[in-house]
Amino acid sequence: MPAITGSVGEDALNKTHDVALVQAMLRIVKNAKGSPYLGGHYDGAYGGITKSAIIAFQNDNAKTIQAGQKGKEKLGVVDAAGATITALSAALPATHKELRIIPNTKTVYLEGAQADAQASANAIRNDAEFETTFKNLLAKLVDTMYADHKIVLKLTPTGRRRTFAQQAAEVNTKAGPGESNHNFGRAADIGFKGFRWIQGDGTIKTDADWLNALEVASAAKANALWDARDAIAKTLPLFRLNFERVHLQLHDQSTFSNINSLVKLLNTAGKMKWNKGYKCDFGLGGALYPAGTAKQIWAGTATVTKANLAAALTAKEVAAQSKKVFKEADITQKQIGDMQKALKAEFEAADTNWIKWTKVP
Amino acid sequence: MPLLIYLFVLLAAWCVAEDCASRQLEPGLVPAVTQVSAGPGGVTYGLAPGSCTEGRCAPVIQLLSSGKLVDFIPLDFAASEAALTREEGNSGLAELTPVEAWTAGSEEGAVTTALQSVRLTPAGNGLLVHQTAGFEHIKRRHDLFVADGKKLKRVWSAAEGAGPAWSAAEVVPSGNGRTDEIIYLRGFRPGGTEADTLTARRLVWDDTKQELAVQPLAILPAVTTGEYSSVKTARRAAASSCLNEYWVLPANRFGGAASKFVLARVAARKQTIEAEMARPCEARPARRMAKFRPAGTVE
Repeated sequence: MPAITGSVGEDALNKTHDVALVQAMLRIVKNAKGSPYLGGHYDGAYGGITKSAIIAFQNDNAKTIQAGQKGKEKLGVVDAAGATITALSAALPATHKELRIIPNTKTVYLEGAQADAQASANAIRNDAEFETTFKNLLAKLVDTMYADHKIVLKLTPTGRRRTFAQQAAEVNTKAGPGESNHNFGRAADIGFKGFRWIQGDGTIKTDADWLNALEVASAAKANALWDARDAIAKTLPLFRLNFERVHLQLHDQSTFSNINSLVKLLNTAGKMKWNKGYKCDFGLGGALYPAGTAKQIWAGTATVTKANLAAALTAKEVAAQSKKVFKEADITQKQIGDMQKALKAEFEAADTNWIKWTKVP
Repeated sequence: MPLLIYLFVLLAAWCVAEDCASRQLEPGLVPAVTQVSAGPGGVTYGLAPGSCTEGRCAPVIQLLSSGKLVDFIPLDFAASEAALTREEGNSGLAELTPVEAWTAGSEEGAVTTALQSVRLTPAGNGLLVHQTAGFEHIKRRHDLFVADGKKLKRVWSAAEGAGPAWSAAEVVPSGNGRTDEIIYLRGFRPGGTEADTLTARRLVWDDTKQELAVQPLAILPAVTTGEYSSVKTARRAAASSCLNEYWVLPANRFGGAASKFVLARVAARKQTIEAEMARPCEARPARRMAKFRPAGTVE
């Protein structure tokens, strides 16, 4: 049964979420003439129209509510545990029985199914492609969101771990292969499964995982729901990004660099020596040379120059106490191509060893 | 002490009247890194680094008269650093049109801001500002500013919501050739078995109301390839070639069968589609020019 946390009506507490819920119920429930008690859209703001709707409903149900009589609710006021909210709940059609609202928000919605929440949490717990700590926190988020708000969270179709190859195919990102938290099982895109919210006119809207329809109706209302998710996430803790709401991750983004962290993993998993900005010794033990961006390296188009490769090969000879000197003209295009493949192999090794990723400032 | 209280009350009252909490003019405000003409009379729009609060630094759009700052509005996307660095090219923020793009911050704290002049009237230009933010997931927003005397006003905004959204606000010449209009494209790539969505709006300046008005938009130029029986097969085709930025859309948006899907790129300008057709891409079946019908999807 829908519940309010405080009274709604003339001189009542009129908390926004309570007003919105009562308004939505009055918008859904119809009088004997088949008209909704609340003529306008529900908005969480108490006023004359809401007052009239409450009184009209109380008068039409005077026998059961007895508003205004001694020991009963005042006429025009809906108490938290009073007869009016009970009668309103009873009058709701079967399709709208499980109405809810989160405190300090204005969007009334229908409860999700517990089985869906359990299935979602279990899928996360059993996902071998997530880092253990992260997946346990993420599953706990799903559990808590359902326990607190009866909302089902689920991973979006592209919200799980991404391989480096999958990352390379992503178009809506600046992060190259190995530069996304998704590549290391420490991030997920987790949205709202089949979220059914009540539109202003009382009809049900089943939304997409990202609350697209609610976002179009009111960005503020959509953000309020993401905020509710993130309020729970923060206690676990899981961390959000500044600009993307659906994404949550294990570490606070302000404490590390994705690029520097990938460099560390390359040094751990690969055979070459790497430094910031993807400078690499080409596995030859000498100075480090720029190899390009992560996207370039993965695409096999690392910025290996003949001059740099000649210098690196010469340095190896020097280290071996040889006097052999490589000149730029000595380097063939095949050697460049082979080195580009070797550099990509370093990234492939990092991809295979994704679980060893650690954050670096 | 009473004098101090009096002065404080006076200052507070002035602040309320001037809305100084949000727009107080800082004497030391950093000069603009670039300026765009608002029309005749020496009035220009500028982009300047903003001040930082709790590690968030919002670039600022300025209104300048003969080089003097008269008003400013901070932008919504704030970067991790204030300093603005000029980008090469236009960072994909606008089709063909050369726009200046400036970036502040790095990785997740990076925000790129681009300015674009829009001929709203034959004599006056608005300033279309595009911002992209983020690293893992990119978010874009677009804001149109106009000069109203000595006031800078934001008259239109569009921002992407959560998830794999995309948007563009393209400036195109209007039919009269003396003003511009804006084609606002908004797309979403849900992934999985659902088709992408793409909507378009044509926005024309209403000088009387001082706002953008939505006008009918018949077709937009496009390039398409393939005709697939399911979203899944279309996505597979897009992933295996140079078409991964193409939309998976119902074929009936391009005059095809409602039950089929195509890979498509849609643009505000025909030249963009011609450039796309000229881009080397071994798509099979071959790409072809098409017409996108936004009708019925204009929000």
